[in-house]
Amino acid sequence: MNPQSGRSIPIENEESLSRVKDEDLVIRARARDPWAPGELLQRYQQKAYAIAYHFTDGNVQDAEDLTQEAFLRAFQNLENFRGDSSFYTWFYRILVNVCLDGTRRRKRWREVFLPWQHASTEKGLSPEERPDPDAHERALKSISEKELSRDIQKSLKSLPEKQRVAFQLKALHGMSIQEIARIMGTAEGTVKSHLFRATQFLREKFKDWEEGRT
Amino acid sequence: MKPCPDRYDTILLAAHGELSPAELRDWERHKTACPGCRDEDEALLRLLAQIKESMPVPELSEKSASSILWSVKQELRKEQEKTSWWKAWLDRPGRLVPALATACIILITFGWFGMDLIQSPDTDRDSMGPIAENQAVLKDLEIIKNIEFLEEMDTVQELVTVLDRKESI
Repeated sequence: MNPQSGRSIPIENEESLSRVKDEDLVIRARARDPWAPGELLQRYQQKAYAIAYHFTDGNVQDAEDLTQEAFLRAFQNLENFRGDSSFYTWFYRILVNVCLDGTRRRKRWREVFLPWQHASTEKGLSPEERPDPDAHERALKSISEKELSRDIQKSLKSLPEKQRVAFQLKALHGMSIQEIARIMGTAEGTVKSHLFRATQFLREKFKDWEEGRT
Repeated sequence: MKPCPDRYDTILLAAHGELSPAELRDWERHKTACPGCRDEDEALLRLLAQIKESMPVPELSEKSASSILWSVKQELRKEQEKTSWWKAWLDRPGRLVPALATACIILITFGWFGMDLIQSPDTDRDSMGPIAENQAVLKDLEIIKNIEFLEEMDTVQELVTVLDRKESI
């Protein structure tokens, strides 16, 4: 079926709705079918939120805002989806761009309003600051794990933007190098190079932790 | 023990699950014979597992999910309403007929009065009739014929005024 045509497909019931392909939903969404965007959103919002969550260093509100913004931008630009790649690759590309824009915005904001931002993070917005209910029983282990977690997040943050994106999408979200290349709009070799550098950097950084374990 | 330097890319690709089945078989064979590569592979896998474990993602709550869905749908509806008024006009040519008819009436009306206003200086002569018009033309011709004489008259009049002024002084 021609994705540009905008012809709608009859769907009998809710059960058959779950079997409708993304591309068909895109056609329906273009034809102003009110539930098609909702169905696409429900299919990908968990994963989109997870990606946004890691980009915002665990800020729930920011992650939700970025997820919403990405979906909105995708639906507003559905006419530009030519069907060369799958819908989710196209959408994740938009999501990553929205997240990068959001991260840069937040960085600028932090630079201007540093004292206020510092105060708000101290209130416990980041996940590592949240109280652990099992901390009482496994205090030492918990502390070392939290420290490690914090160190990992800090190290990831210190990576150059492209290396960080490639590493996060691969290691945390299990995407293939081919998918990451499409999302980032670069060659697979470039993604591999970013991935290798990031992994090597983290390996070097946590060599002591690894040696301490063994 | 250190891993083989020429195998470092393979270690990284293997840890990220990016080796083809043939490459993977070759790698497994190499690992059994090379403790350095095996140790590095295991260390890297442990690190990646630890990174994944230390960065868990909370599930998007049902409330947040439906809030996102609602907001996106609202925004899309707003946008549709914003763009649809002019699209509706263009989509249905029938709606353009009254507008075009009104525009034509306005153009014709103003055009008519506009022409009328442009032509107004000639209307006096038109209303005079043929005889009066001929008389006016003859008068004009007489003025043109005697234009030199009239100019001399003007000069004489100016001289008289100058002399009069001198006398009065």
